[in-house]
Amino acid sequence: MAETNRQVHLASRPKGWVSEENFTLVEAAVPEPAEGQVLIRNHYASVDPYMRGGMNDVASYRQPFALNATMPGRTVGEVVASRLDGYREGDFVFAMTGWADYGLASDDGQLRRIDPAQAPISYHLGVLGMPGMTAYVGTYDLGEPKAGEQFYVSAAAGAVGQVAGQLARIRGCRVIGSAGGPEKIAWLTGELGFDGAFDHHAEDYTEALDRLMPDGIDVYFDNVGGAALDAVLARVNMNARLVECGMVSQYNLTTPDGIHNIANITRNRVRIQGFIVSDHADRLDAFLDEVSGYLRDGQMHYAEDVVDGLENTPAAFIGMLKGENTGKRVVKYV
Amino acid sequence: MTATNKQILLKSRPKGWVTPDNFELAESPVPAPGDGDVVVRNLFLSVDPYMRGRMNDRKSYVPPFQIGQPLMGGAVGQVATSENQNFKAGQIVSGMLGWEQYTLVKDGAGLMAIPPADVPLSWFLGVLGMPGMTAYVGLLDIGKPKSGETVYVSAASGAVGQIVGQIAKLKGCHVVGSAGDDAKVDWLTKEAGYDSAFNYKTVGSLDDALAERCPKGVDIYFENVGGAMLDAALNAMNPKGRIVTCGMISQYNLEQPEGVKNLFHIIGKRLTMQGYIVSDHFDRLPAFIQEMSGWLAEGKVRYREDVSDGIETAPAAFIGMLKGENFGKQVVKIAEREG
Repeated sequence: MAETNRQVHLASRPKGWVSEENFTLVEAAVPEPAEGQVLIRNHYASVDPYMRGGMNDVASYRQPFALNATMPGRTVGEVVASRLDGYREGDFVFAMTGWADYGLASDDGQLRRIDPAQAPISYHLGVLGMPGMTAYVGTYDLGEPKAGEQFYVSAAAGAVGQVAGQLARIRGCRVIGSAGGPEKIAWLTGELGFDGAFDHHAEDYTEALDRLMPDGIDVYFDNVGGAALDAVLARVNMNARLVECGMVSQYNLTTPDGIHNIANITRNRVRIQGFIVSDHADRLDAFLDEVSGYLRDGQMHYAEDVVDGLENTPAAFIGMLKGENTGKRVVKYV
Repeated sequence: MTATNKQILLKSRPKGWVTPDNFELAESPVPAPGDGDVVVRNLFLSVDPYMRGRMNDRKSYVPPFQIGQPLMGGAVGQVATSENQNFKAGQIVSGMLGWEQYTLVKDGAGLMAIPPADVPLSWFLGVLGMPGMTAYVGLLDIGKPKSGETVYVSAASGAVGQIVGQIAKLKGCHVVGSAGDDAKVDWLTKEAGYDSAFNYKTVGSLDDALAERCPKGVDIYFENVGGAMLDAALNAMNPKGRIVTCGMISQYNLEQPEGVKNLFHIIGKRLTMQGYIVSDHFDRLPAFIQEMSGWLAEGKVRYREDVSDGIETAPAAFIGMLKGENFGKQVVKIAEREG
């Protein structure tokens, strides 16, 4: 066991783009578990777009992250000391211990044991974790895709997008994705089996969607907002469903982009729906069953983008917000 | 029967705001029915916001109006001559009829007989017609109001809005409306039972107006307006709020629509924004007619119309409605009922 517990603290709230100066690396003593707690050596930490919202001091569906405290977040790791019934040293667990070498967790509804034989443990931060379940609930419960429908997902190579697109493909949709950079595009149309993909750095959303989706859009899984959303609204089919998962293009803007084609919501009876996966916890078992099955039988592929070292977590997070990752970004601590 | 049929034809398609020049008054012979056809003598025409979309040459849920042809819309009339066994002269009917004194309806298609009722015939174009059912389906089936929730309605004294607010009150909601005229605002709180109302043109900050009148936030926004009003409503929405997207009248005459900036709240607040069209919900017609007739008979729902007199006034009534000059549901009276 290391002598110290390195932690990444939130030092200040960003205005506009996040920078590494918003974080500080702090060393503290490794804590002792109290009665009812486990001490976890974190192996992987997740960096996700929602964290950008938590850095602001505004009311949302979650409390803002506290200043001068460890950045909260999802982790997987190994129990190294336990005073909690049902957990033993050596167990692998999912928890919310944040950006630190070590963390304490109690039976808070988040902590759960994971099976390292079922899949690599880091998958529980991605395809078998919150991003995967976000894709599952958003695509199937909100998007309600039907065979033959036109499905478009933005940030398609990201943690949620890659799963959403593959779930729609499995339901028989024609799936188009967008991402930044030619490698991601090749990966989407190659390994992931998308019917088409485009690089939004190289081609306007309007031109690309005209080219790749001449029959309009039935389901849009939105991870980016802004110009992509406006382009989709101009091309929605009757009774289209827009699943509002994220608007990563807007989070660092002080004034959001104006969306001009919104009157099509009325004209084409569009449903546009925001959601948060924690409102759908009753779907966890169905999600794990179905998606782990798709991974086992090879219908679904999953890519991770692994950054090494706790001290690199802020840079990994900022890079993810800028879209430099291919696949779900996680940071390896052990 | 007059020898001629006065008609309002679409002369040109508007760019931006509709103007009187887009219409043309014409006269043609009164049509004669062929086998199976019905000729209707029109009594009341409805002018509605959705018709602005039909003036454009683009696909929508209804096909565009054609240049040189009469505009069409919901109307109530009386059968003048009939070669159709389902309809007889003198009968009161409703359907999609022309902006003209007489309309030939091939095979009587789409015509519905209106049963004898104790309400003015024009009400079948409003509170007992498409706008009333739009309010009913939108609020109850899409908005799903619960007692104690706050409902905010824009264009609240209009054909749809006035009904939405009154149904919401019947469901136990706190109801707030906006309109563009002090007399309409007074009417909303004094006659239509709204808890609070404001004049969006003079109130200054829409955000402050909503915060003051909806202290517990907005659970359902019944959207008739769009643009800046939608941005303010998005700010005021509560988590899991519903935006019933009925229309966006502030945008229909703009060549470039306003940019809506606050859509990010859809994610943070898990909002649902749902567009709909009443014709997808015809299975609800019997329930609507039964319930609304009851509310009217018991005095629980009041209804206000703005009646313009004469077929020649239809373009001005339509343009005025798009500008919000009407006070209550805008209809055009074409003729008196006979017999």
